[in-house]
Amino acid sequence: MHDITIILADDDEINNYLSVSVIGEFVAAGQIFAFTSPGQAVMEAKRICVDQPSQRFVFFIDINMPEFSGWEMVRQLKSQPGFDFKEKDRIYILSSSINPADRVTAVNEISVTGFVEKPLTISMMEGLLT
Amino acid sequence: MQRIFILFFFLVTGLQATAYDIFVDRKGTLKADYIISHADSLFYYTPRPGLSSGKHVVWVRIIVNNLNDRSQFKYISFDNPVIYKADFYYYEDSVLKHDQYGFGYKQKTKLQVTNIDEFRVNVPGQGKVEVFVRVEPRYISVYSYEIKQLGEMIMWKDRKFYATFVFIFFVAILIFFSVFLMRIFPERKVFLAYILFLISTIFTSTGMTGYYRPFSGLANPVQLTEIFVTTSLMSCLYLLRPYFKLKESFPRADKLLYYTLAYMALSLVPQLFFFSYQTDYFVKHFVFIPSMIIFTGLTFYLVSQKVRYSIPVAVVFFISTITSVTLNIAFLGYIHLGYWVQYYQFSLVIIMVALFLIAFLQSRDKQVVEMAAASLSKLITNKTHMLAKFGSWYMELPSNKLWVSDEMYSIYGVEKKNTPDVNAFVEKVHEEDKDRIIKVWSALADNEQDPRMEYRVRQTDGSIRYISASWVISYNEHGGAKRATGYVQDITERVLAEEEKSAISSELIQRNQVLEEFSYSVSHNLRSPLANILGLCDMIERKMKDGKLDLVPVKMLTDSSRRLDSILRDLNTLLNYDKKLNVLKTPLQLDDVAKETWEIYREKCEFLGGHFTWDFNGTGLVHLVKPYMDNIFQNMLSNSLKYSRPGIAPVIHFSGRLNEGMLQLEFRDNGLGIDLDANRSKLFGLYQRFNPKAAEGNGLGLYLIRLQVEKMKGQIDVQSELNAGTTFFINLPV
Repeated sequence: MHDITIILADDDEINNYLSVSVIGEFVAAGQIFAFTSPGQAVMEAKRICVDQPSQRFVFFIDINMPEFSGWEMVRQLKSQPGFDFKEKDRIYILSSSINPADRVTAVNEISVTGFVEKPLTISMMEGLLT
Repeated sequence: MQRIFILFFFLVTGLQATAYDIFVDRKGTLKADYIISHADSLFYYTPRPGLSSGKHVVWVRIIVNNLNDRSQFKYISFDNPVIYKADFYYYEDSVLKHDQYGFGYKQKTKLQVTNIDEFRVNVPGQGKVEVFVRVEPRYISVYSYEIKQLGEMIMWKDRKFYATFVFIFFVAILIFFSVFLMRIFPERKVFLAYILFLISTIFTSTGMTGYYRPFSGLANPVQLTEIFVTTSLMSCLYLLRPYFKLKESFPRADKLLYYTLAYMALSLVPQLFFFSYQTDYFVKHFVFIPSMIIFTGLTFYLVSQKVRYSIPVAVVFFISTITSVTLNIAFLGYIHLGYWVQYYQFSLVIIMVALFLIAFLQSRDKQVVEMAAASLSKLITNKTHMLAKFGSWYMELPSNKLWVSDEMYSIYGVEKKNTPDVNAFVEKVHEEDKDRIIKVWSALADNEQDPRMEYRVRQTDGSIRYISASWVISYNEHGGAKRATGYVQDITERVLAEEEKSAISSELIQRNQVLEEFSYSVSHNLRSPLANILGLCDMIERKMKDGKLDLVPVKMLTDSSRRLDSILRDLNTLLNYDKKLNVLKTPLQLDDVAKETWEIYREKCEFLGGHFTWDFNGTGLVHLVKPYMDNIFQNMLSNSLKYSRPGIAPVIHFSGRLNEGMLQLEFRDNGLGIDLDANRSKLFGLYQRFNPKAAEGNGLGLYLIRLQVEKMKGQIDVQSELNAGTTFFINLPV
């Protein structure tokens, strides 16, 4: 699990704290970043992408954020220049939403890797990082 | 009235015709005032061949030859109408011929009445009295020559006058009723039958007795008249046959009747040329009697088959049969078949009367039904078309001659005219549909065109009617358009109902979507802190196992729980808000509302060094919902303080003014501002937050304000610039 960068974007700090804690236990080597602003998260991802091109990214993105939505953030990651989205990279939507429409959007329209319901637990982590 | 009159007429003529034959003779015979005082006592009688001498029933016919002094005869009378007896003498070579009375035979026998004293015929003045004896019955074997009854008394003057009168009378009636009945019985057959019937009654009444003989000089005028009468009656029956509807319903009965009549008619023919007692005998025994039996059977059959009017026919038939038998017995003392047959003719006449009655009733029924059906159909069509708002039209092509139903006029609101004009209808078509109509109308005969369309019509009062129209074109054999027939239906109610229905259903769909969104937002919002709590519990558990528990997750647990609690409270507010459907408007001073709001946030505002002012001088007392206004003011101030720019003292100003019945409120601050380009659509939505800096907002405040403003039938709008400030505008009707 070397060279893995995990980026969290959620305006809920408690959730970030929890997620970091859970991921931290599971991921021995790697760097974890948690942002309450999706904009900052995107900038940081771009920065890491430039500094460490070999890095593998795993994103956990909340949907409902004041600055802009998780969908927008995914769109920016995938379409804006500066971030090179690779095949091994993973983008997860981490949300407490139980609206099926959100899952449909996640899978069909945005084509993220998956939709993860909050809270993130250790048992879930198994399948998410591979 | 007409019916009663006609019925009366038939009864009178029918009865008169036969009654004359039966009664008048008798009357003349039995109640005559003439007395024959003296006379040449020679009677000439020709018995039927084969009759030997003996007692014979004889009718005595007295013929006065002195016709020049008829006035004398009124003094002649029988004083004793008893049975006269006569002895008959046979003369082998008689020279006397009395052909004109129907007694001219080759084999002649001279008869002499011996006890002539009993014929006390008193003839004042000059004159010769002939007493003519006619033996009755003529055709049965009676071997007695006893004269039982004195026969006909001839009263030339009265009879001739009567016969002439009757003849003229009936001819007049015939002419009158011909015209009249032609209208009642439009069928020629019925009319013809009627004429035959009438003629036969005339001949019966005038000719049967032999005193007014149209066929005088022929073989046998009396018999000829009888034949004629009978034939006429049978023809009548034959012609009227269709009115019983036998052919359709009872073909066998119809055939039977047909053949019987044919048989009767044919068997009468020889009598015309070869009259003899034998033929007369034959006709009466082998034609009339079997026919009568067939008629009886037929009547039974008709009754059993429940043919309409068959019961009255049967009643008439049997009454007349019984009457004829009774009459026969009453006058002769026994059933005399020959007479009975004559009486039976009387029955036939009565049947004719009944038949005419039936024919009349049936034809009238038919007419009434047809007339009623036609007028009823028209009435029904008119009324139902009115109910259905259904108009119809018809147009001759290519002359464009138009016919339009009543309802079509009212659908279009066009004034009714005898010659409807197409343009008057096209005029009324809604201006947006007019071109379409004209295009379709000008190519009406084009069979490629879809013969259906919907359009609008603007009535004179300006109201719009929706019309559904369709038509069909008929073509002649050359393929040219011959006529167009079509309908228009006012479907306004349906269209409006459909519009209303679709409006309701789209509103329902929208509301359902809103509710769905609402439930997802609520559940999402509830789940965020709950997910945190679950995660934290999990973490605490892990940390406790490792013995490394610190306060951070516990504190976070508390925060999350509080957040959950606060969300639930907000939700409660929202739910309760929706329940308050009827909120009371009370008069209130906005000044006071602002002051109360200020009291609540004074501390926080002062802490931030803010500056809150308001100006509601121009509004005075306004009628609004106090709890809503409180909430709006408090939320506005709270938001302005919450989203103030860091390091810049908030300057907040609330103001209001009245303009054309609208209260225009402004809530202005100099805070962070909102990026309206990105967020305008979400601004007033539930659980929407925009400011990354101030995450404490729960996304409920503006949503609630919007709901409350809308409930008061107002509008809310916003102007904002990032890092410059935000102004909310609320317009409320007061």
